[in-house]
Amino acid sequence: MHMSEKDQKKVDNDRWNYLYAALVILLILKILLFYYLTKTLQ
Amino acid sequence: MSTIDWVVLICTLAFIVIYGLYKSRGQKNTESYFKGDRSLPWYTVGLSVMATQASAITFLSAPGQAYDDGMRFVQYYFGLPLAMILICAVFIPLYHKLNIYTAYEFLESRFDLKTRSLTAFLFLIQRGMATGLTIYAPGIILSSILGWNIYYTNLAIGGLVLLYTFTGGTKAVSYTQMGQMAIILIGMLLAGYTLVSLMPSNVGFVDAVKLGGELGRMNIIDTKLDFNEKYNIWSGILGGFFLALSYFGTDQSQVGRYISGKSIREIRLGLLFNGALKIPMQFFILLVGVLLLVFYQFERPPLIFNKVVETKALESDYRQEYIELQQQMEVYYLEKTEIAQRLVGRDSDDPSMSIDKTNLRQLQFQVDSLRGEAKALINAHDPVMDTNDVNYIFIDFITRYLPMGLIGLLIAVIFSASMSSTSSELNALASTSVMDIYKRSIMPGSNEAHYFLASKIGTLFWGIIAIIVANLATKMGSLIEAVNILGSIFYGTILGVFLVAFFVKFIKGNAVFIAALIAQLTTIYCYFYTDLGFLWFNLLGPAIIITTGTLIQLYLNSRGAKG
Repeated sequence: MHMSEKDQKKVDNDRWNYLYAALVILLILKILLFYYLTKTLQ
Repeated sequence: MSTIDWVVLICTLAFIVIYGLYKSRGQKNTESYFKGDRSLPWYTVGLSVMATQASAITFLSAPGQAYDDGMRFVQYYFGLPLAMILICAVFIPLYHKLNIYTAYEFLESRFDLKTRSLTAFLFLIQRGMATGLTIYAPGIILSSILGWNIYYTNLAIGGLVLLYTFTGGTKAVSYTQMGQMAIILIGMLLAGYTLVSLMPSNVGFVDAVKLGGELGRMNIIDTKLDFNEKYNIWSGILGGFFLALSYFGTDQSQVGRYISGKSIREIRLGLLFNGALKIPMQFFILLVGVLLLVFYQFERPPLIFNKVVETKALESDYRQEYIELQQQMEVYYLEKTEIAQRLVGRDSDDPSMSIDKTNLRQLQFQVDSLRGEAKALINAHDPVMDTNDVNYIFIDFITRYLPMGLIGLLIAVIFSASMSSTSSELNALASTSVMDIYKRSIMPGSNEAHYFLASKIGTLFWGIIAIIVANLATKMGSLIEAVNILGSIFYGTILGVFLVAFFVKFIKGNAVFIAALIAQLTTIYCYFYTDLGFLWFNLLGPAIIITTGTLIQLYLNSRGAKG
């Protein structure tokens, strides 16, 4: 069964939102890693 | 430089230029010349965006900065991924739907022609001058370290960039940038690897990073909220976000890069790729600087890294005082080497180590102070001498310690970085002057062949201007500061107009135009008659445009309602 154009758009949007969320999580992980390095090495 | 280095340098640059020209052959119209027929895949878009931002000074200055001040500069990039997300979600769909040539074109559909022309004009003045400095900045360093004539380096960088940007347009810019980024990454990795391998055999990579921490340079994150500190996590996320938003979202040298993407999907992936990789790349470049400082615990460093300045000091009347500082540095160096050797490979929990750690950091602090004293001594006798040697630290290491061949490759990295930024800027200047000013207001209604020719002439014109500015900067140092200030006083206004365009729907064309003029005049007034630091102009412009724009729009609305 084919999705309507509106549903397809929603699925696409959701995919991008997941990708944006992944980038934010990646940023948080980088900052946490840097924080750990600062605390242990300084 | 040896013959092998010359061969590596010339072959690397020639290969990149020829590859770019080959991939961009058959340019026929402005659509392909400025938008690459909207055909580029995400990885080309991503690498092109990264290469545009990374200028030669990035690679010369960042390791030096980490050497002197530690890793905290990386926080400056924390806002970048967030700006990428906003640009992908809000800016890209609009830019793509309107099929724009330049960012300023969007402003005509949102506001009116006069707002588009004003922002395009401000961009042309600011970037037209600054492009010359992108060429000049590495030239002055290479000429001082290698003894090259700066006019030749200006001509070589400017001429090579002009060759492929003029011939192949935006596609040539993007494809050469892929090669340039590859060379930059390979070169920096090899430099980092060689740096560690040149340290004593018992010092590995992990030991070196630990020693960097002992020396106080692994200060990556600073969580203290202090408005007087340039780099902390808060200014990095917030300030970095606005800076990245204005640079990637409204500066044609970046917008011109990603509008050539095949689809919204490819553009978004390219920008997110930049958002994911920028921080690790910058972290690594800074880490090279920390490793360099560790290397100089085991190898005698110069007191001042700019040879020209040091030679002048040693030939001057205050020679004796300078030599005394060098001798003091020698004493500290010998002590540091001994302590660093003891610290390597030992358990960090060993209580006896804590005294060594404190002493090492204290000695490094004294060496840093000695460097400051030496610079103050030189400036006291010669106030115009530029004693800031941050940009010379890494290149001095390259020329003194790297093996034959690798020196040529690293010089190619610096050339590549300069060329990749310059080419984007020339392409952006040409597209803005032709599409926003010439085609729209001076000569509308001509045929495509005419505008294509105008685009090529525009590229040539801006290329020649850039080379002239680079050569003028050599003669008048004050020009550099003038151009930097020019950038700051216009950037805020442009960002303000775009922020209103995207986020304050209520404000219309006339209101934003008047507000932009008020903001620009206020900024110029503040520059001449107040002590406000020029970095603050980036915030002042948007603040004035949004507040006065709102007031003017309310006034216009009330007048309209009465009428």
